Amino acid sequence: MSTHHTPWHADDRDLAAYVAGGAPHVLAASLESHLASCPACRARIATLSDPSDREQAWTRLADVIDRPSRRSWVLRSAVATPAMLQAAVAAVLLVGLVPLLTATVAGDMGLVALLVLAPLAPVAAVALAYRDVSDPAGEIALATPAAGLRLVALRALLVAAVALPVAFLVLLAVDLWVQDVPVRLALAWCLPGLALAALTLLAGTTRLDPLEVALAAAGGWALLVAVAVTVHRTLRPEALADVVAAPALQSAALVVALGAVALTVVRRDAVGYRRTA
Amino acid sequence: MIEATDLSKTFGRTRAVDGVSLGTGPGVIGLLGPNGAGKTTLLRMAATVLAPDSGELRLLGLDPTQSSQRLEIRRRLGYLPQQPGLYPGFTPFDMVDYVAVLKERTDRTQRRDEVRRVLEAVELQDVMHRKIRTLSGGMKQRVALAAAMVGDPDLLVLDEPANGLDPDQRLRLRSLLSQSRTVLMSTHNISEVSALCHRVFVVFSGRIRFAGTPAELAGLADGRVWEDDRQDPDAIRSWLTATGTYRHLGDPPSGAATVDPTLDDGYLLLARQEHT
Repeated sequence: MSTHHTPWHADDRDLAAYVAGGAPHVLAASLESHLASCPACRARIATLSDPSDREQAWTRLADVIDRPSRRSWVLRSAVATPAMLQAAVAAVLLVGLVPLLTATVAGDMGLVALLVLAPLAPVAAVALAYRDVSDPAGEIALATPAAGLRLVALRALLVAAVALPVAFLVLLAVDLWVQDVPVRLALAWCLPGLALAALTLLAGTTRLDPLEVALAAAGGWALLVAVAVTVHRTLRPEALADVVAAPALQSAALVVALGAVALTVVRRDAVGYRRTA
Repeated sequence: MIEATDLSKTFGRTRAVDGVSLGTGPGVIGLLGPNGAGKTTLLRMAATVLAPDSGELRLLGLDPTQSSQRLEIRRRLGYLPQQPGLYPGFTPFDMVDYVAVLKERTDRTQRRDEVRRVLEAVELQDVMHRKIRTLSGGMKQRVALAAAMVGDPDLLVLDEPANGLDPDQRLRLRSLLSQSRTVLMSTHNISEVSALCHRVFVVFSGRIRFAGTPAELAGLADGRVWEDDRQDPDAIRSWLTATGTYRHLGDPPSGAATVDPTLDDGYLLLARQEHT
């Protein structure tokens, strides 16, 4: 703000009207412009305003400056964490960009890549939700009422909620532009993904490292898809669908998912109350 | 407020806390001991972060091993860990506000007022909108302290709270802690105990070796401290003071004029007994 003196000063009545909120728009704009460069008029206007009004104005100003975020407190507790935002971006890239690029370049291989990678988005979400780095408050957060399975599940769900629609959009894009994708194949990865994510969630209630379990789950699933491709010597969507969307495999995935979630709920105490360092 | 009976915790082959029993009422309680004595493990158990392997623990009359009671404790608890891990991209206001969210302060207006109150209490109001990465070590420590104090908890568990604070800030800390209901804090700095604590527990190798007031700790060396121009080889501990005389601990020789013991003397005597 400039502090040089201007050759004129505001009229008392105009200043009073401005303070009372009754000055016309053009006059108010002119006065504000003048006040910014005229310490004498700023001093006069200060004497015209009611001290209680000033107090309220400062409070309103402080409220705006101190406003931490427009996000709700639920979102804030879950995504206030830059690491979790990065996790969401990574999950979207994982299930979105890689299969789409592969499908564009290598046709059928894109579908295989999607089948391998898509279930890993919820797995990655759970594994990252458990990491200490995901919480900006570190160990302080562990001693709060929000600590525990509730916070981990909320974070995982938010990342998964971002990644999963992307996976479906990618499938749609592949279906439209690259090749036909059977509906049962398009949905085949959902239950296995849920099962692997639930196993990772369960790992957090044990002495195992959820990230290591997530990596093992990812490897196991990739191996399963690779075996299916090798055994059937095909990359054709229909043949892949026969294997991955088989009722036996889907049922097994559902049972594993439900069992792991139930066990996690039973053992939830271990999430927010550490047995080891 | 805090009751522990035969509390133990082992990490691998290390017995970090070994059969600790202690009881405290309101006030500032200090855990004093060398690095690796088990203070942090004890505090982490008192902060409901770590479960004991065995023994009983009651915090605010509640059992932290029971999930419903642990939740109630956490609603009334403030915790400053040894390594707070503050996210450098946050401002102090955002950081403390985030912790207030985790402490279930869902009303935005009330939460914001409370955040401002604690940041002013630790004198960070002028930097509360600067990124934490730009703050000094002492300021970061005060951000973590504000996060612990947000919500006016009944029990404050503080691991080395005076770390990085200058003498002026330490005085301020003393006044802040004196307004709190119950504070359990660790330190390896003896002067902090005399400045801050109403009661002190001395911890060596995972065990409580002394419980009492700071004056009682100093009193352990009553009649066992003397000064002389020359070093006495029979003293169990001796050191050169700033005035050029030797201060000795142990059984004074006949004719030696004993001096009033300090907290350091009492602690060093305990430490010596621990190692013999």
